[in-house]
Parts: sequence; structure tokens; C-alpha cells
Amino acid sequence: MFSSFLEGLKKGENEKAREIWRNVNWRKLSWTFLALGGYILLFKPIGFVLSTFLFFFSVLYSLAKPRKWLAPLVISGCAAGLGYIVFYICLGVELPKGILLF
Amino acid sequence: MGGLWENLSLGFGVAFSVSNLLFCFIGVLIGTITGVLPGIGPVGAISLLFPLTYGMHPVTSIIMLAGIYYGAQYGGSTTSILVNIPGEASSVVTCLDGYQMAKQGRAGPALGIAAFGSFIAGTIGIIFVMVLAFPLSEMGVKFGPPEYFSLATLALSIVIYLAQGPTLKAMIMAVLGVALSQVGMDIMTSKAKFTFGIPALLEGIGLVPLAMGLFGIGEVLSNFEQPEGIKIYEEKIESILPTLRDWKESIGAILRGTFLGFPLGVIPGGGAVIASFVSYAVEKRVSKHPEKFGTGAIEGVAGPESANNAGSTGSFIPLFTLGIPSNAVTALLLGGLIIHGMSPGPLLIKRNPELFWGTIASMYIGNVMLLILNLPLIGLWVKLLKVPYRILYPFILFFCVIGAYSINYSSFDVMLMFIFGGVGYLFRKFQYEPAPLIMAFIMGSMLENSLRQSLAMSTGDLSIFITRPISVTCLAIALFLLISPVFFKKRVQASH
Repeated sequence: MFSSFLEGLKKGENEKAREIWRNVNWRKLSWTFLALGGYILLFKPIGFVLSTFLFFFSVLYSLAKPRKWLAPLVISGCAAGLGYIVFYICLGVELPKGILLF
Repeated sequence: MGGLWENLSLGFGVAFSVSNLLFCFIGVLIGTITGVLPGIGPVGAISLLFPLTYGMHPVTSIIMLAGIYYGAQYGGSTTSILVNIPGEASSVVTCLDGYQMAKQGRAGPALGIAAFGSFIAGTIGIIFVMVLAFPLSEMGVKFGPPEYFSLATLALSIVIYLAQGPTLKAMIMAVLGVALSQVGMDIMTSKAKFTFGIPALLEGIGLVPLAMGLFGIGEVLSNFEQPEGIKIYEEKIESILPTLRDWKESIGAILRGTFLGFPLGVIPGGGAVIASFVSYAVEKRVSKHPEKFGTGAIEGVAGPESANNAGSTGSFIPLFTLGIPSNAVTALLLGGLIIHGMSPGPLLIKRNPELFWGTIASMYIGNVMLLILNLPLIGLWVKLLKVPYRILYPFILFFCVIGAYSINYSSFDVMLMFIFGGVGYLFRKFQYEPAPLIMAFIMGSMLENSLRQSLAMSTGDLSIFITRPISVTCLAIALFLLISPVFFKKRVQASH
């Protein structure tokens, strides 16, 4: 039982090397990775609320199947707002203010 | 045994305080959710919530983190049965018969027996922990630094030996983990080690950025390759209570799973995953109708689900009695104890009885909570599964960023996490397991300290490790495990 699972995971060494990158969704992967990197870089300079909003929006908008902007906009706004309430007000995490007043 | 009751009542006194009850509940709730969601495992969830526990009482934080671990074992079975996608590695085998049962309209009993089996196994496992922990820690007290060093080396070697894939890869990961743990200021000489002139590295590499990067971000990035839009078993679940016949068929499997799973959890590198695989193989072998396995045999659900819970309970034994983690989750808990200023080791139970007995008692309570959470609320968990991953994963990344930032309010930690996230993704792609790395990372300073103390005892003579009987036995077994794959094929994978 165990071995059949592992074989499914392992395959032959050569075949594996070619297959490793076959199923990669490059667009999604690179976009997410860049958005996350950008988020981390902007986190302190422009502040928590703005950077969080931009991060969520960039990821959700770019990867939504039919290009919609309303739902990503609402989710991003909620995430930034709720994140601010939960972490800053409830849990007392000192979040960077950045260029905004809060 | 009189002491046992005294200790237990102390434990329940601790566990029944309002805040501990609340965080036990939060822990098992989050555990269930992470178990249900395929995108994130218990290691990722624990590292995500790690920063939150810094301000808590140590007992409370361990109670919550432990709750996530055993809670995830419950939740993992739900997705295996209903969607044929294991929420956790330890529920992989549950898919085989659980999903078939669901297809035949018997999803209810499958979920029910998984939850009851987990409950029975979890409860029996806790009793084992209670009875075994004290004598084992008494034995551990007699260990000196050389024995400790050798035992930790042995534990790490077993983890490497039992890791999936080639032993060499696991060995590379463990060495890397020890190397990363050495970064920072030396505790004895205050000299900077491996900091490459970066002042922020003087405090060492943080456990949270490392674990979150490897297990949180790395997992999210590699999950992009899973196809989206999973099919959920939509039909209404009639009754989750297994019938008398179901019970008759599965009670043996539950008990066998418990007694098999527990010792497998105690062994380093074992834990819930191997326990579930072994239990399935055993059930198939002892069954009067092995041909039914894979077509919806209830024993195939009951056995592994009990075994993985017993295994996860068992893995607390080496943690509490010797201060040695047996898998990535208990390694993180060990890291948590250290951060809270506890010194894990054989004296932990004596010095902090409220910690050990409080956690044990909370596990009883947590198991009851899980039964309540999992059976009547199963519909809610199914709905949770319908949240698309593309909406879920930005939140996981967001929690990683906030978590890593909140520890020291340092952007450096977040950058570090980001880098480890990229590295963790590559590890996954090339099938290097991150678990041995994180364990070696946490055990690194312990290994270093016991090595130094031993050499101080012997004034620099290395033979101290081979002249003491316990130490030399441990090292010999460790050496054998590490070089044996050169001569034999790995037996764990070749059998069954």
C-alpha cells in the first residue's frame, strides 16, 4: 500500500526531472511571488492598510478567472479593514502607519 | 498511583480555567479548519499562530498549539471521505475506503466512525502518556550531557531514516537545519557566528520566519499546481451515527489502530502519518474479507483514523519526558517552550507539573470538544471547502506577513520569511522534505550545548561518547541507520 503511494510520488529519476516543472502555473506563481515581495517591501514605507489592500487587490484581480474588479475590490477592502481592527485594535500589534494617518 | 490522581486533578484544575478552556477550544477549532482545508497543514497553522502565543501564559499557549495538532487529525478525515482529497498526510489512506463509502451513500457512518475512532484512540493515548511519561522522565534524569547528545543524535537519525525519499536528501536537510541554528551570537563567548556582518542576524535566525516560510509560503506556492474546482460530495448526509453492525466491524480496527499507532508516534520521525499507513496494511491483513478493502470497508476508515490520533498523542511523550521532538509539530512546540523560558528535558514534568498535567488534561477536554465540533457541524466544514483556494491563499500569505512582522516589528524577519518561502517552494519541487530541517534547526542549539558540556566534562576528549554505555549504544544505532541505505534498500518503503 505504502509503496504504491510512494511510487506515485517518486516515478523514475529521469522522467521526474522533466516532469517537475510541467504542471507549474508560471503566471500565478510569479505574480503571487512578486506581489508578496512587493507587499513586504512596501509594508513599512506606505503603511499596513494601504499595502495590505494593494496586495490583496493585485493578487485577487490578476488571478480572477473572468476579469472582475468589484469582488476583488470588496474583499481587499474588507481584508485591510478587518486586519487593522483585529491586529491593531484587538491584539495590539504595532502596525506601520506609513503615509496614512492610521 | 495515588500521585497520579493528585496530578490529574492539578491538571484539570489548570485546564478548566476560563482562558485555558477558551484557547483549547480555539486550538481545536483552528486545527479542524486546517485539517479540512487542503491548502495548509498543522505545521503551517502552528507556525502561523506562533507569534500570537508570545504574550500568553506558557501553559495556555502549549494547550492551544497542541489542540491545533490533534484537531487537524480529526478535520483531515472529513475531506478524505467527502472529496477524496486528504486534508492532511495522515489521512491519505482514509481516502481509499472513506470516499468509496461516501459514493455508496454511507458518508455519514464513515465520518462518524472516523470521529468516534479518533476520540477513543485519543483518549486511550492520553492514558498511555500519563502512565508512561513519569517513569520515562525518571530515567531521563539520570542522563548526563554525553547521553543527551547521543540520544538527540539518534532521534535525528531516526527522523532522517524514516523520511520519505532518499536518506541522503533527508540528511542534507538535517545538516542544513543544524547549520542554520548556529547563526547568531555564541552563548558562551558572545562572538558572532555566521552572521556575515549582518547585525540583524546576531540574534540568530528566528524559528517563526523559518517555519512560516518553509511550511506556510512554500506550501501555498506549491499548491498552485493542484487543479482547482474540487468536486464535493453533495448529497445530504442522513445520519452520522454508525449502526451497531458498523461498530461491530470496526471496534477491533479502532483498538488495533490505537495500540499500533501510539508506539509509532513515540518513535522520532514516526507520528501520525506512518501510524495510519501501517494500520491500513494491518487491517487488510487481519481482515476476513481483504478483497473488500478499497471498495468501502469501514475498517479501512476506522483503523487508520484511530491510529493517526493515537500516534499524534504518542509523539508528546518524547517531547515532555526528554525534551526531544519526534516530528515537525512537536519540534515547534519545543521551540515554543524554549521561547517561554522553559527548559525542556527530563526535569520538565517535575519543575512544571502544571504544564505537563494541564496539557494532558486539556487533551481530554479537547477530544470531547472535537467530537462535538465535528459531528453536528459537519455541514459547516463542507461549506468551508467550497471557498475557492484563490481567495483563501492571499489570506494565508497575509497572516504569514503579519505574524513574522509582529514578533520583533522588524522588516528583516519578514524578508527572511519571504526568502525561506522561495527556498521552501524549491525544496518541495525537488522533493526535499522540510520536516528534518526544522527539527534539526530546533535541536541544533541543544546538540551544541550538550556537546560542549560533554567535552568540558572530559576536557576535550571525544572518547567520552564511546566509553559510556548508553551513549555508545545510541550512537552505534544512529550510525547504522544512516549508513544502512548504502547496503540495503529502505525497508519501510520496500515492504507492504
